Amino acid sequence: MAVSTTTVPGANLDPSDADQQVITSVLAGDRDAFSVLIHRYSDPLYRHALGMTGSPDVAEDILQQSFIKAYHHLAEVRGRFDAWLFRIVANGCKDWLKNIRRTHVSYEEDDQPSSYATPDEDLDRSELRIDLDRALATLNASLREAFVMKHVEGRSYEEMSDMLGTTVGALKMRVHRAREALHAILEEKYA
Amino acid sequence: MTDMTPDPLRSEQERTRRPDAGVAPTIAPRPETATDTDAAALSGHPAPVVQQWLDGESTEAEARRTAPQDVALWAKVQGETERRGRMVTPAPVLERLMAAIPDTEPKGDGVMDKVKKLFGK
Repeated sequence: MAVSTTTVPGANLDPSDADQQVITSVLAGDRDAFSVLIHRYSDPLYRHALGMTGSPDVAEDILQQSFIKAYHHLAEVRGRFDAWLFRIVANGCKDWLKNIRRTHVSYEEDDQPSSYATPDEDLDRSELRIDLDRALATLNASLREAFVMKHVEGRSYEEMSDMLGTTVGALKMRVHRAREALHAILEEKYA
Repeated sequence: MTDMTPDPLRSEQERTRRPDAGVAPTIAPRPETATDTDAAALSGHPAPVVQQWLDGESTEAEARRTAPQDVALWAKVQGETERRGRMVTPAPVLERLMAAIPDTEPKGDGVMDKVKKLFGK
């Protein structure tokens, strides 16, 4: 069977092979090909960063630094590019959480506008958004990461295990612990 | 701002981990065990059957029969988390991400290895 050719790097290929084709193009000097990778992965990574930080501006900053870091270190990719890139973003989020807590700036004091509130939505839902953000902010980074990956990103435990290099059982435990903690905070108002 | 160390796969936390690091109190994970049975044996709320429902291992109807208040809460939370899961990168953010890519070429270390790996030579 003839293999079709295309001018778009990585089109019509398995995602992992497609990424490798784009990476090869970038490393060969086609800087603009990197935009294919940004388009391909920005949405799930943005959701992760936003879920972890609660701030659109911080999420954007982490994504920007992560893509720059990935670009600089592109030649070092081994294995799946998407998992490698995810780990860069995930580590950026953890570093931000660590630093913001170390400097005693609480989540509530970060006066970034909520990315979730829109004027035409009812008060209850707006309140839930704020309360959920505040409840998430009480979780440590690993519990929050597990909850966001499971519930916001909709990943399976197996997929989470592949991406984080942690066992399914341990991740399930983290998600359950996160739910317990969130439940304790939210139950009085919403149960 | 995220630092630009040579090892992009390690977080600052992993690189500088200290047992007495001065961070604000958070809900820390209790010791983890690696079996699903242990995870399912957690007590408290949400009820175990609700945890199972949220993990796709039980039905909402079954969970609601056992713990209707827990289900009411988690149905609301799920509505919100699912909405967040549909979010996409705002177009201006995407444009700024593109614009931020350096004009310089990526570091060349390992390029030949990669080419050899790809083409088997």
